[in-house]
Amino acid sequence: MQRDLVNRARTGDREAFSQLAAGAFDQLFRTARLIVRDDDRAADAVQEALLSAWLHIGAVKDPDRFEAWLRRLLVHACYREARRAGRRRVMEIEITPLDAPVGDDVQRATAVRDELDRGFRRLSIDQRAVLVVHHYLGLPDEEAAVVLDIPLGTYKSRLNRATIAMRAALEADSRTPVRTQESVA
Amino acid sequence: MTTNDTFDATLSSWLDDKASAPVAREDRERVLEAIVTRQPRPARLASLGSHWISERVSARTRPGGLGMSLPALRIAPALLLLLLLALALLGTAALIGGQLLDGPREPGRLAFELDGSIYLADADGRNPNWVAGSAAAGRYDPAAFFLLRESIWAPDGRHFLYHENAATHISDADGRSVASIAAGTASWSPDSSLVAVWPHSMTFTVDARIRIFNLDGVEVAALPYPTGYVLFRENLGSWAPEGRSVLLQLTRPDVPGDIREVVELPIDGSAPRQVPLDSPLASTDLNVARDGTRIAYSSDGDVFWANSDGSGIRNLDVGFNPVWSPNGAEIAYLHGLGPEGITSYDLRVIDVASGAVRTVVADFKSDPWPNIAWSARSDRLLFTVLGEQDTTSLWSVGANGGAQRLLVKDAPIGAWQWVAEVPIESPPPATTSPAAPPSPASSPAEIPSPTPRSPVPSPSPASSSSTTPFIADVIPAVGALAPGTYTYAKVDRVGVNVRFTVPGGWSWDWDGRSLRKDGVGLPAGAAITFFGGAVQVEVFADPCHWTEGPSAVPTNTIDGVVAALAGQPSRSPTVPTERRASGLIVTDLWPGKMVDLTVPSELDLASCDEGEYRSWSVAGVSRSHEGPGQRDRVWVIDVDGIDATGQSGPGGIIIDASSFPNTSPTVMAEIDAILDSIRLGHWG
Repeated sequence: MQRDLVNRARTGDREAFSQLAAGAFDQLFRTARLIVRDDDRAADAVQEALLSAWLHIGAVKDPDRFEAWLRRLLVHACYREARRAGRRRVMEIEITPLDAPVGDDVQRATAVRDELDRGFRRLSIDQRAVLVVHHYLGLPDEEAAVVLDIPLGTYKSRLNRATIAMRAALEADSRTPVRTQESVA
Repeated sequence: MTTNDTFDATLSSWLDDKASAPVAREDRERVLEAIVTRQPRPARLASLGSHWISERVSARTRPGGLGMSLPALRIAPALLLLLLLALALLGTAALIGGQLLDGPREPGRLAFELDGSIYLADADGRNPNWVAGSAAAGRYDPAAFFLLRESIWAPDGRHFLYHENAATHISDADGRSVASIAAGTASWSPDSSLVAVWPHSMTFTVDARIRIFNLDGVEVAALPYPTGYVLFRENLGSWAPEGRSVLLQLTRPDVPGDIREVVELPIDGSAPRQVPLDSPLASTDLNVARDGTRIAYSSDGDVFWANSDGSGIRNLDVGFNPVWSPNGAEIAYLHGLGPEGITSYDLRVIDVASGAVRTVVADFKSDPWPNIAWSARSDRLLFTVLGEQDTTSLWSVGANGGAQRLLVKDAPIGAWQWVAEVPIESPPPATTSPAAPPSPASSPAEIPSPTPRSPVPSPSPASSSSTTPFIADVIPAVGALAPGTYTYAKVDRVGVNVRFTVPGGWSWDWDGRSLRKDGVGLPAGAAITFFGGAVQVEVFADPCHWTEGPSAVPTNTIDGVVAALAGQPSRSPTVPTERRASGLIVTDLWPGKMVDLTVPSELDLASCDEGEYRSWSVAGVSRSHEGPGQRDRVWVIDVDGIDATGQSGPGGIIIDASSFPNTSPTVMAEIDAILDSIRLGHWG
């Protein structure tokens, strides 16, 4: 089905592309949301990725790789979003340290989620992207490297570093009051 | 979260939760609608809200015109006049409240994109003529400025670029395509003579080169990234102010931390140069004044200007995307607003002489890539505004504010042509009297000037030309070579050129394929020989007894050729190594392998067939070696996806660097330097 839609879209069938875009939107948006951490910017990134896809769908030689190609466009669109955000000054915001005692499972789960959220924010966009591709999209290493547009070895080392950085961020978070830099990246 | 598995599971679960928040319906609809609105909607040209009041349609309009039926063409002006009348009655200016259709006609033309088509219009948006893009029934071939943004018009206004059908087109100022070059993000050289096409992630093609084309569409250079580097995120590159090199934002994947580095690549193929990150040339927002003497740039959220050599830096304001006015007196830039500041901006202008800043348009929304440009007279600014329907339109405004005009509704990208007949008064470079920075900008900060460009010896008489900086290298003639850079064009007629730089004392050998030094061969000479691989490469099973025939190893691939060479008896081969893109040899794009071979030291040439030690032959030319102890470093390189032994097409190339037991360390270093300088490519 999708292969047929891709083939039709490649010939300029806008209805076919619209179907592809609609079908892919939710996952693209959720992926972008995790990487750029902002719904508006995630929507912008998805829009840019889909526009790019429409303009360049002729470049897709293998319809079976359309999804991977689209993901790659999305990751690059997310990078562009980060680059644009980087043009603005970094601002510092105060984040309340999470040192409240944990009373029950719900509270503990909430605490863990908050820790993860703060830790994730501290990562670079490259590190967030590699974790999202690996843990959220669950792509095999080879495909993940393609989506991120980096060599396989680089992907593995970046994933390793991102994991270490995430752990370090969590450990730091649990030890110290937090005053972090927030670049909205 | 103490074990890796637990940590991974927790992280995966959290990401799932985080991602699974409902997707706002309006986001989804907005984005999908945006895709749809890029479909051809030619009827819009006659619709209410369009600025166009002319019914004149270019004779160059594609078949079917702009898609308007004749009745529509007749109705359109009337509708628009009604709109204007209504606006006048209501006392309301359109959208931003500016004036419409007043003031003197701007010189030059406006190129803009609308619904996947490219149009040329008068500078005020009137009289649009279709240039490219198709809306034929059932098929949509978009044409776009999408990848060009601020490099649509050539600086001299004679040409512009657009994308269509997977190519970048160079069009003359009347919209006639004069050449097609590789698709990708492209930008004009400051002298308007060349176009750089930057690698881009839009396709799966890994093209780690910057390709340089002239106005005829001829690729005059293909510059590979320096070894070990990849593109730094989505940053591409820019031309250096003098137009002789390009500046790349790169990173090294093997270095932790994703560190940005800036590398300057001379387009003549000479050695790359690291650019300090505190240099103006390291900025991703570099804009060169029309007279070439000054640059504007942004760094860390601030706007600066400086002399083109990097001296005399002035910190101007918080902002980005600075653009010099054609008369060199002012710089326009965008100032982001608010903590989010993503799509809300002030359009500001600073007078560089006085440092006075004025806000020309306050607090407007634009898409994430705001598009600003000066008019040819330096009296108006073009900018993009995000409207209520989330569509971007082109507007213009007087450089002092006011007189805002809607140029083209729903056209997201456009650019004004610069026309030379407008007098330009260029103030002298301001090396003194720094402009008083507006609050809250900091004091001018001096940073080291860029390192002077390394001198590259070039005997080329054309090397001083600013319009043909690259292609006029001397093709070596037989005999001694003066130190310099040369091109061996069309090696063995396979369509591949080799460029190299030689020091003194080297010659181009009579065989027309070799660089030689110091008596050529034993006991102390040196040679670098080039073989084109348009036909089958034959590797002899035993070089001493070459008449017995070729190796049993098939030699129709790079691996096969190298394996066959390494398999020759007593050659003391190194393990063949992949040299896909090393600094030593050529290009990331073309794969290759290298093997280091030695002629047995105990060899008695008289014992060999016909007294010759032959290792291989290419195109009927046998490679004979001089004698015992000769060392050959051999690269077998694919070209254009056709391996070194390709039967058709341009084929590949083999490079053999020979030295001998008594070759001096100095000459060995010269060999290495020449190998380092080698570049392959199609140009000329």
